[in-house]
Amino acid sequence: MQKIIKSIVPVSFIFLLAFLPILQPPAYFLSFIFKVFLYIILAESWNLIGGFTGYLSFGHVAFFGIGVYTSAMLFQHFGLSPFIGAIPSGLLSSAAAWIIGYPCLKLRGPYFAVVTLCFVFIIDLVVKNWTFLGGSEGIHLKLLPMDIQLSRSIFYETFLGLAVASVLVARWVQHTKFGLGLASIREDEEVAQTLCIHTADLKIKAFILSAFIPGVAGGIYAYYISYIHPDIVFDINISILIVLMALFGGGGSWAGPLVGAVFLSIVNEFLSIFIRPEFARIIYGAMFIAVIIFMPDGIVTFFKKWMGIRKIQHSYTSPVDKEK
Amino acid sequence: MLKGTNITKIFGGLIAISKLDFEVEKSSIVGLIGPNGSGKTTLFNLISGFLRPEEGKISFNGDEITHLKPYQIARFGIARTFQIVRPLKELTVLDNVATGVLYGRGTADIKEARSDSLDLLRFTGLESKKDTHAGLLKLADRKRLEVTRALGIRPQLLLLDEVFAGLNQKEIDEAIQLIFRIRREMGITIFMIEHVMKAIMKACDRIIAVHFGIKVADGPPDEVANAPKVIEAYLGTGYVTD
Amino acid sequence: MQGRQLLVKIRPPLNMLNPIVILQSIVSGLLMGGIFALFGVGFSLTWGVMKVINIAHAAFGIMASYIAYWGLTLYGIDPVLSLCLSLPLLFVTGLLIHRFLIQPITRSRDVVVASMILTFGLAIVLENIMLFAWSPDERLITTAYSSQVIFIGDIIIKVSNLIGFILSLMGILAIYLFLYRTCTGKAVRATWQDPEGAALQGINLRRVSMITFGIAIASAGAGGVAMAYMYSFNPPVHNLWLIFLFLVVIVGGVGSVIGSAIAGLMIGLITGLSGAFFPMQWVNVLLFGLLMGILLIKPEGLFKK
Repeated sequence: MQKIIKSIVPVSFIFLLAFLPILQPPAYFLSFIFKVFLYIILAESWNLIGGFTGYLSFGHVAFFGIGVYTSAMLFQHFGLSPFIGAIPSGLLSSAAAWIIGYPCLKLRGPYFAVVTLCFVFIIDLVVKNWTFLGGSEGIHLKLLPMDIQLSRSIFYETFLGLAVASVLVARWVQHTKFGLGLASIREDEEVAQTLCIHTADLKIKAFILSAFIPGVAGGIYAYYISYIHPDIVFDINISILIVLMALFGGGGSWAGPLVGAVFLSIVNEFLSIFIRPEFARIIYGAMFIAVIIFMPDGIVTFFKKWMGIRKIQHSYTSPVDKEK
Repeated sequence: MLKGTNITKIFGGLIAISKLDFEVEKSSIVGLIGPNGSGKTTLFNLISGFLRPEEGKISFNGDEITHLKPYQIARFGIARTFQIVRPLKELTVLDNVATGVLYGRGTADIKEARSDSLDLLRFTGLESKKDTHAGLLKLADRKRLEVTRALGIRPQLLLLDEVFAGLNQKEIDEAIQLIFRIRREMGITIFMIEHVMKAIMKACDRIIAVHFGIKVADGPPDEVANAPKVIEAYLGTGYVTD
Repeated sequence: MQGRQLLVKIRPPLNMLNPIVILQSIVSGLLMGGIFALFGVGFSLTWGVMKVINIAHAAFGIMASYIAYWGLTLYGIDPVLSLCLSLPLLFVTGLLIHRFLIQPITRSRDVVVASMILTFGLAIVLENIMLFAWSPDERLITTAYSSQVIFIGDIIIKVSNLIGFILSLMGILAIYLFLYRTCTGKAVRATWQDPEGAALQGINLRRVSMITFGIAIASAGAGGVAMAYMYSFNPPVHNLWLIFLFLVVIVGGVGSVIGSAIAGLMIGLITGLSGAFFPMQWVNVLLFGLLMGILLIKPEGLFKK
């Protein structure tokens, strides 16, 4: 019963979001929320490997980009619909994660971070110089044969679905055997091995899963932007942004990336509307410094602890009051 | 049960363990002693698969485990603790144990694993701390957790690396009782490294002494403690002068 | 892209197998490598001594490039002389940043990750301050001797490149002497090898890391000026320079001065030589591939025993 009450709020909120396009809000507003969904998807799936497992990947935008290019090529050459093409996109991203992850997941900490960073640069440069993939000219996709408002709504709903799915996947992982295994790898990989955990196997599974969702999202995103260029879809800043979003919210739980993605997207948007871009970015950068210094475990944990401390203080003060 | 023959381990030209033979019989408590740097922890790392020997063979219940990976050896039923305790800090005490239960016993039911873990925590006396983050425990409790977590994989053999170090007399006595109970109630064989001589004399059926990677004595506690080579190794600071 | 500007100086020559061409690319590669080395050595030190990966390292270098540029353009001060102003300035900035930003995070669970994110934020701040102050226009340091060249046989050496290279050698030598000949330097090395042991020996860890950080930032400044002799720069270009920093550290091994020096020269050489044979965009692919390969095979660096 308690469970049902607890889930009423989020479920009704999701329904509210789902009905939003019917009210025909301004296109700008819809595309902003669409972008928030995208970041939720990316940050949540990054968190599977980055937050839960403790492997700081800066290469996640590559999996997104691979998805974009896969479905774009499938559409151009075989006329495959974006929503079907998204599945092979996800699969190809996972395959890339498997190939890359197999050697790279042996590295730890900053070394893993750097190697994944290089992966993005290499793939970006290769795509730029490969005419079959459009090279540095990019690819123009034909628009879908429907009214722009309708197609926007369809993209919106799909991404809403994907965002909900990625949050649910993260939540599921966190509360199962799989998640506990990943957490033990994050805390101490050798100890995890003494507990019968095949760490290499578990890590690669997490990496593959965390590449699949961005791949699918990328497959659909290809049609949303309709003009595809390596600078857009292999932008290292996206990679860094999703890492920051996840860690900003707190990488240890499924809620962290969600909160981080929503919060930072909104802040970013507001800042860029009201003040000139340089100042907006300065405030943005200063925020990261502040979070790392004052809330090293992310804002979610910070507020949880803060509330916890208040509770404890309350229970401690009461006996003193009685004595008085 | 556990048997090593002719084991040799070399670190960059330095011989850490040289042609060592040892055996641990089922349901015994065997101690491994020796001065610092005599190769005790190296031997444990070889048994649990973190290191590979240059020569020799280790077998467990007749199966050779010399070249297996740590997780495979753990699945065979050999659990270990670390000399410097290594709790999974951000996890609760309960989840530290539950992780081992889940993966060691091959179940996927997290609720069942947690209730099994709770039983184990009750057994080792950590039940009241079950929801504490493992990183916040005191040393004595960390050591208890280290042992409980190892028990979680339902081992046949438990390798204990200096569990008494840093504990006070009362805590040591409790730990010895716990070791006896682990053998009696769970039927687990114990192979332990120890520095606290008094404690190990009390706890073990048999003691193996090593010095510079070579076995210098092997037998009942009293016999080993009085063996000239052992006294020589410890330069008289051992049990005899205590 | 930015990569092209960085590597544009080593255009593929007409006749690839000409020995003079090869020799020329070796020489310009080495000159370039010396600068990478100076630029990377401070980055390597902070990583090695205090486990701080300073993403803003290259941004500080660009700061110094701008000081040199404006000193030259507005008052006609030679870029090398401008270091007299920018080095102490950056040193003090380094001390302050260490005191107020790095020290609070030294006790966090994972210093490496925390420092990467913190200094990433710092890099954003610096980049945008520079964008605001000096616009995103490309700048190039043009001195009276910029166009002068020296001939050694058939090999051409640009005077400005040579000055950058000599500056780098002097910088590395200074850091080397500091680490191996002074008391503070020895303390830094001790801290790098064994922080706890060093603390037990009565070394003040806080002071040592603070000085290391100051020196690292100052060396970034010297590296930035040396870079500015060779390449055009603007605020966002520090992201690309950062990749070269990672290359230097990972090839040379974390925390090693001599490793960084050799690694810098090697990377310069590889860049120069491969630039003679491949189109420049593939040179970058090669470099990143090299970095990945080294990481996978020998992550502790090529020169670590």
